[in-house]
Order: sequence, then structure tokens, then C-alpha cells
Amino acid sequence: MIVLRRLGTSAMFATMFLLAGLLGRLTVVPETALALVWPAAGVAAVWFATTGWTRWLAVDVAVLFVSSWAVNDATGADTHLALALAAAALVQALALGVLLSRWSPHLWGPHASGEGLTRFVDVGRLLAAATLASTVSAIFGPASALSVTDSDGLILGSWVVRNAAGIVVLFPLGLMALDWWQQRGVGQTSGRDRGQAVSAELLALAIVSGATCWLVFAVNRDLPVPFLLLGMSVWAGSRFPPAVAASHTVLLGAAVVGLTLHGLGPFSTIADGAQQALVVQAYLGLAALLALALSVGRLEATALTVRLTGSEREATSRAAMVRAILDSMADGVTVVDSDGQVVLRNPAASQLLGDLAEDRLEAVVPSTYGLLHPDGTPVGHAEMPLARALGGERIVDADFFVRNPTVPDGRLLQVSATPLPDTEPPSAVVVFHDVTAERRERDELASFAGVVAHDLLNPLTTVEGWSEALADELSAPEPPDPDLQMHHLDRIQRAARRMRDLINDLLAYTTARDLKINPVPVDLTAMVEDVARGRAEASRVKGGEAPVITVGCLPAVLAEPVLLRQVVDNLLGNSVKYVAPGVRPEIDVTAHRDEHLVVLEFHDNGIGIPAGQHARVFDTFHRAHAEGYRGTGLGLSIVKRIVERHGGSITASDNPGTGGTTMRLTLPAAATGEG
Amino acid sequence: MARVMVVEDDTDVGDWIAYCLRQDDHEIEAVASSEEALASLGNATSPPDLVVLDYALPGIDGVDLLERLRGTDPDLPALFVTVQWTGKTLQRIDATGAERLAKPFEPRDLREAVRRALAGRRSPG
Repeated sequence: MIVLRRLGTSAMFATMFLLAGLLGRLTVVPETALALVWPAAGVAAVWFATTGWTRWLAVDVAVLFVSSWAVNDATGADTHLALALAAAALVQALALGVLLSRWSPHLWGPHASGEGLTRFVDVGRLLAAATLASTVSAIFGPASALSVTDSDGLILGSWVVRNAAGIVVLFPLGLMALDWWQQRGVGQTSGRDRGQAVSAELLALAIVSGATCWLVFAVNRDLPVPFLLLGMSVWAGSRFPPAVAASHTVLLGAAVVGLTLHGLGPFSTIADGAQQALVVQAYLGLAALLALALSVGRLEATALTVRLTGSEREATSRAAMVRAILDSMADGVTVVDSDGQVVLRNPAASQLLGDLAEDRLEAVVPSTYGLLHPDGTPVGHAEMPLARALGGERIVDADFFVRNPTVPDGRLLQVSATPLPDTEPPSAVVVFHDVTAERRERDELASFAGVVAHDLLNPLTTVEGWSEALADELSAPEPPDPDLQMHHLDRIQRAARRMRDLINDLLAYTTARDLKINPVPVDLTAMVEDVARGRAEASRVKGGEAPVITVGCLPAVLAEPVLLRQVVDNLLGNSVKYVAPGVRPEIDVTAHRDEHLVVLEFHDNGIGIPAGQHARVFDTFHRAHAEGYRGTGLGLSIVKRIVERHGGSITASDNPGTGGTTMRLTLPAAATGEG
Repeated sequence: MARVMVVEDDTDVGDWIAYCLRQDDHEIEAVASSEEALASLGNATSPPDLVVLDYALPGIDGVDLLERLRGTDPDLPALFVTVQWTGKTLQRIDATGAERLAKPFEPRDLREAVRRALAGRRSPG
């Protein structure tokens, strides 16, 4: 199958070669015995190019030699000349192959394609290869011709130019025709509008070319202006693809040759046949080269433009993506050059450093940031991360404190800075990570752990110590003293209660922080009365006087019942506990609606809160009355946390009527009718 | 026998320290705050032989209190009984040159620490 196909290809090219040869032989200049144009050179070039350096080349070599001999022999050349011209055709095709497969391998071999001719350099290489191959083959062709005719040496030049022109014109066109043949029906790429515009221009090119040719070669007989037709080649080359430009050249060349042979046009006035042949061939070669060079150059420029546009689009897309990433980052990123100019800054950087008025000048003014060391000492200019990075230093996770008018509370930043390589002027990137909350949490956790350890180890020390003392008492030889033993036991029990209370409060503290809030309408009156009954009962059990707790009509609230009960219990518990000795606790619980909130108040007759501590009583482990009253310092911080998690607030103030305290807190109100 | 001032805001702990040391025949004065300690020293005719104090005292902490007490008696021996939870606390305590004892502790540990603290007092002159 492959053999048949290959033989078919060889037969097709042989036929085309014969036809081209016969066509060429019709243009033989009588005095020289050589044809004016030789399209067969182009056909042979395409033929051998598609075969390449394969074993089939041997077959094609033989077929080409026979075909060339036959066409020359059949058109009147004597046997010696015909054989010499056949050898010349063979040498020319092979020499072209040697040169092209070395210079532009994509133009030679089974993979050869007209699409490979898209670079200006390929046109130059094709021209050079065609000229050299024609020159080499001239040793056989013209040398033989000279030996049998009386023509002068111009024939040598005519031969080279003629054959080179034939290759330059037909080689690209032939490859493109093969491309078209192989890809016919696959993908119509041009849009209809563009196709119509190209067709209109192509029609205009054909009409204007035909008219110019007619005016220059048929009508005009006196003025030697054949160069006007070169303008048509420029048009074809600069506006159309190489296939169209090459086709235009072929048609133009055919017209010029035909008219000249009929004694028309400026070239027909050249009396000497060899001179005429040289001029016509040079003219056609130049026209072909001009059209092809311009067309390929245009193709190359278009491809470059497409590539550049693609690169630009990709760069724009990449820049937009990087910008979007930077804009969405929680960490601040700033790039600054050595002149102090801000090259890039993301929103997080502005937010972390403060949106300062001076910043809008887009210049870094170190003092405006209020940059401090973590211990509060000012940062010198040379110590700035930016300045150090611009000096080539790499800073990793250094802590700085920022305080300025737009960040009045200050912010602890972890800063990394790196010099950016290959930037002019030298630039550096600085990354800011806000660690304020993280460090505060860490410090709070350490402090919390410390206080818990202290508050648990103290009663543990008491338990261990007094237990040992009790054991000593019991093992002493003297009779035991019951009062002393009771004293020791009382200390042990008290310490155990302290530990139990602390553990309970720690659990409540954790619950207040972590319990998921599912707010539901809560009947506040019922809840407070229930907790109050429990407090009264507990006092009676201890043998004390029950507190007087008055509960008004309290609006329903929207809250998590478990946590709300904790709030009420802690506040009533404090009011019951912190009273002067001998005083019966009296607590008045009132509430009123304030738009969507309920303001709940606990007024007591206790010992009150020392001046200056009304806000601090809500701090974790803070105890306003450490002496004489047991406590863990967690009760009110639990209350505050729960209230705030419900979106409310709590304050403490003096109760002027009794000298006690008023606790005022807000909670979300339930809708009317709920609870 | 020595005169020992015990400064501990947790009276259950302070009382037990006093109880232990009294059994060794030391003369004990127990107070519950730094302010009381300073007031007591101001009223005393002579400084104690040893001060046993908590670090985490409310208001003036143990180290600051010791510095003030040593304003009167620069060589005053001291023993800190404390919960050692941070390096910073330990550094401050060790900078005073005082002995320290971690809670909770056994009576014999307390006695040994008191003995070491009293032995470390430099001779007058």
C-alpha cells in the first residue's frame, strides 16, 4: 500500500515536472537554446523536499533524470545537451536538499511544510540555497549549452538566475499547495467578515495588477517602467499570506514572460537574447523575493504580535491574581525602594500600620508610624526593618510595637523583611503579622495558669501541713487535745472547700467561654425567684438568717438558660456574701425594657466596692475584698463573659441608698409575649 | 531560737508555717500583708532574725517588700515560700540572694530551709 502510494507520488511529480518542463521549453530563446523561465526547477525542488533523505530518493533520482532528459529531448535539444540538462536538474535538486536540510531542516523531508516558511531568515536561506544549487548545476547545464552553441557567457548568469527564480517562486508555493491538499476540509479559521474583506482586497489586487501589467507591457511601448509592477508585489507581500504572494508572483511572471516573448513590453526591446533572458529572470526573481520576504516578514510580525499580546494578557492576569491575593491577605505587605517610595502596599499593611495622612504621600516617613521596640523604647532609623533589609540584611519574625494616632491602643507586630534581588533602585519587602491578640492570649494563659497554680497549691500546702500536724498530735504520747485537733481539721476542711470552689469556678469559667449559645426566651422573673429561693434555703441550712430578695416584674430575655442562671446565681451569691458582719442581706432585683434590650439591676446593701475598683472587679482573679471573705476572683469575670457573649454589657456602681453595690447589665429582650 | 517574721496573705498557710516554726522554739510574728510587715518593723525595736515571705503578696510583692525591709537591715536573711511558675519570678527571687521553698512542702523541708537561711546571715562587723 505504501509502495503504491509512494510510486503514485513519484508519478504525480514526474508528470508535473514534464508539464513544467514543456512549459519552460516553450520559452526557449532561439539564439541560446535555453528557456527563458524554468518552472521545472521549482517542481523538482518540491518533489525532492517531500521525499527527503529516504530510500525512495533513489527512485525519484532515476525518474527525475529520465523525465528531464525526455522533456529536453522531445523539445529539440540534441542528446548530448538533453543528458547534460538532466544531470544539471538532478544536481540542482540534490544540492538544494543538502543545503536546506542543513540550514532549515523543517523545510526538507517528509515533514516539510509551507507553514515552516514563517520566518524571514528562512526566505534568506531559501534564496541562498537556490542560488548556490543553481550555480553548482550550471557546471552541467550552461557548460554543455556553451559547448554546442555560440552564445556568450551571459548564459551562465541566466541559468543561475532562471533556476534560482524558479525555485524561490515555486518551492514555497508547492509546499503550501501540498499543505492545503493534506489539510483540505480541516478547520476554517477565518471569520466571514474578515474573509470577505480579504476577498475584496484580493480582487482589487488582481484587477490593479492586471491593469498595471497591461499598461506597462501592452499599451506603453516607449517608457521602460517595468518596475511599476514591483509595487504590485509589495502590495501582495505586505497584505497577503505567502501562498497568495507566491501565486501572484507566478501569475505576474507568466504574464511578463508571455508578453515579452510576443514582442511586447520594455524587455522585448532588448536585442540580445541572452541579455533579455538575464534581465527578465532577474526581474522575476526580484519580484518573487520581494513578495515572499514581505509576506513572511508580515507573518512573523503577526506571530510576534500574537505572542506578545498573549504574554501581556498572561502578565496582566498574573498581576491581577497577585494583587487579589495580596489584597485578601491578613498580613501586611509593603515594598519600598531605597528612596523611601512605597512601590506596593496591600490594605492589610495600611490597616496594621494605620492609615496615616502622611502615608498618602506614598513615601515612608519612619517617625509617623510610631514604631517602638516591644519594651516601649523608640526604634532608630537604622534599626527599622526596612532600612536593615535595604542594607542587605534579612529580618525574620522580629517584634515591633506600633502606636500612632490611628492606632492609639498600639499593636504588636511580628515583622519580616527581605531585600528584593535585581531591583533598581534597590527595594525591600516587609511583611507584618499582627500578634497582639496572640501574645495577649499567651500572656493571659500564662498568668491564668500561674494564678490557678498558686490558688490550688496554697490550700494543698494547708491540707498537707495541717494533716501532718494532726497526725503528730494523734501520735503524741500526751493525751490528745480535742480542741486542737478540731482546729487542725477545720483548717483542712476549709482548704478543701477552697480547692473545690476554685475547681467549680474554673469549670464555670470554661463553660461560660465555650458553651454554645442557643438563645431562647427566658422568663427572667421565674428564674431569679428560683435562684433566690435556693440562696435562702442554703442560708437556712447553714443556720443563718435568710437574705431578703425582692424580685420585681422582669421582662423576658433572649438567652441561653444555663448560662443566664449562672449569671443570676453569681450576682445574688456575691450580694449575699459581701455584707458586713451581722447585717442581713437585702437585694432588690429590678428590670426595664430599653428598646431591644432588657436592663437588669441588682441593688444590694453589702459592703460595696472600694473606690477605683468598680471596673477591675470584672477582671479574672481580681478580688476587691481578699481579706475576710472567701472567693476565687472568678465569679464576676464569669458573669461578664456570659453577658458579653449574649451581646450585652455589665457595669458596677455604688448603691447610694444602702452603701452597697448596684450591678447593671443588659441582655437581649425576648419578643413581646414570649417567655 | 530566732525571731522570725512570717508574711503570708493566705492565713491558713501562714498559720501552719508559724505552727511548725514555733515547735522549733522560734519566736514568730505572722502578718498577712506587706503593709502590715512594714508597719510592724517600724514599731519594732530591732529587726527580726529571719523573714519568711510569700512572693505573690497583694500590693507590694515579696521581692519589693524584702528590698524595703533590707533598707533597715541589709543583711536580713529571707526565705521565700512560693509557687514557682515563671523564670522571671525565680530570677527576681534569686537576685535577692534569699532561700526559696516551693509550695507545697513538708515540715522538714521548711525547717531545713530556715536553718540554711539563718546560717547564711553574715556575722556583724
